[in-house]
Amino acid sequence: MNDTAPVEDLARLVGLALEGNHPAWNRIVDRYSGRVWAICRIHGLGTADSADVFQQTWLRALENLSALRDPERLGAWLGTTARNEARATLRRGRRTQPVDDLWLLDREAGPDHDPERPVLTAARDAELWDAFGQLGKRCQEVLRVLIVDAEDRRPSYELAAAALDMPIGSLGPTRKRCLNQLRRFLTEGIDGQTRES
Amino acid sequence: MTDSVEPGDDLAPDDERLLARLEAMFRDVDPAPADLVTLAQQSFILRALDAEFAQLVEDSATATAEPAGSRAMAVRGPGAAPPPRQLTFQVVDERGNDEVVIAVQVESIGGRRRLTGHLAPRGPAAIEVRQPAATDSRHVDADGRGLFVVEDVLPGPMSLTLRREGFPAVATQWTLV
Repeated sequence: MNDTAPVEDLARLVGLALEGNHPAWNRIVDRYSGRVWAICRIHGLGTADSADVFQQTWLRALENLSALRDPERLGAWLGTTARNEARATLRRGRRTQPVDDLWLLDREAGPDHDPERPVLTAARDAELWDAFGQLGKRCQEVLRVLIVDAEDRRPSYELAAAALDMPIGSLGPTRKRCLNQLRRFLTEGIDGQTRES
Repeated sequence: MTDSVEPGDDLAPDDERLLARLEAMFRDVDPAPADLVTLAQQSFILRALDAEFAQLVEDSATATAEPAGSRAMAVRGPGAAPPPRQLTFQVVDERGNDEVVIAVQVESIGGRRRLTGHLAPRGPAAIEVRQPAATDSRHVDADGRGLFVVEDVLPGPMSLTLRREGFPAVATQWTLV
């Protein structure tokens, strides 16, 4: 009854899913959901569109599963597919949103576009949110896509490189630079100054 | 696996702590919605196991470049009627010949989509419309000329499965409509 077993090998999970093992597929979705969702969000998609792109990405992954045995390819493939679907959705124009989604309509990926800051329970979270919002768009994107909820505590560089159109080798240094900037905003304070972007 | 390699990474403990805080913040503020994750997991049963794959080979919505200053944002209200979108799905055999072509026009009617399609080669067929958001798949018939219409398709991902006497089933690539 140990639920914290070491990270399952992704190739094995994909292999099991191909044999029809539904729980294996669930684990794959669990592992990458946060990252796929982050890609929807950094494109500035609202809730309904993000939901569509998210579902579409997973359905297409199922369609292509046999070609994605290599876990390296799965991460990159999910990144590319989510990005392409998000861009195509933006090109087609946002779909008519249900009324209860209206408050999210103009919400963009990063906090700096979010007029109403969500209720953040801890003051230090609020401070972090504001500091993050001061970062340039690229930094917000890199930090958002690289860090999100890796069950295995590792970012997927393949996915991030594909989603952001960046060489994989530049992700680490960029993240480092962005973290330094973020730390500066945190320690020097924001002083309510809005940065033109 | 290369997924675990950290290119150019020499994270200081400070960086690690900051990353952990960011991660926790996004998990709190904007996580992947649980119902969507569940839906993606349930999509496993939507695999078209025995069908041939008809790839999306043409999409009018991506064929033309958007004019600068995208007017996409203007097409938002329920009153706006964007031009119908044309999708072409195709099964190609091993020699590169067209086997089946499914051409579909997508119109926005209110908050729903109307699909108007035709098949090549012509001929009657049973068409199944699959959508992860719909509880049951829908069924319509293509007539003797291979024409079919599906009303009230939900916006979102959809796939058509085509069944004909004497031919293997064909499933179209999942497509956002």
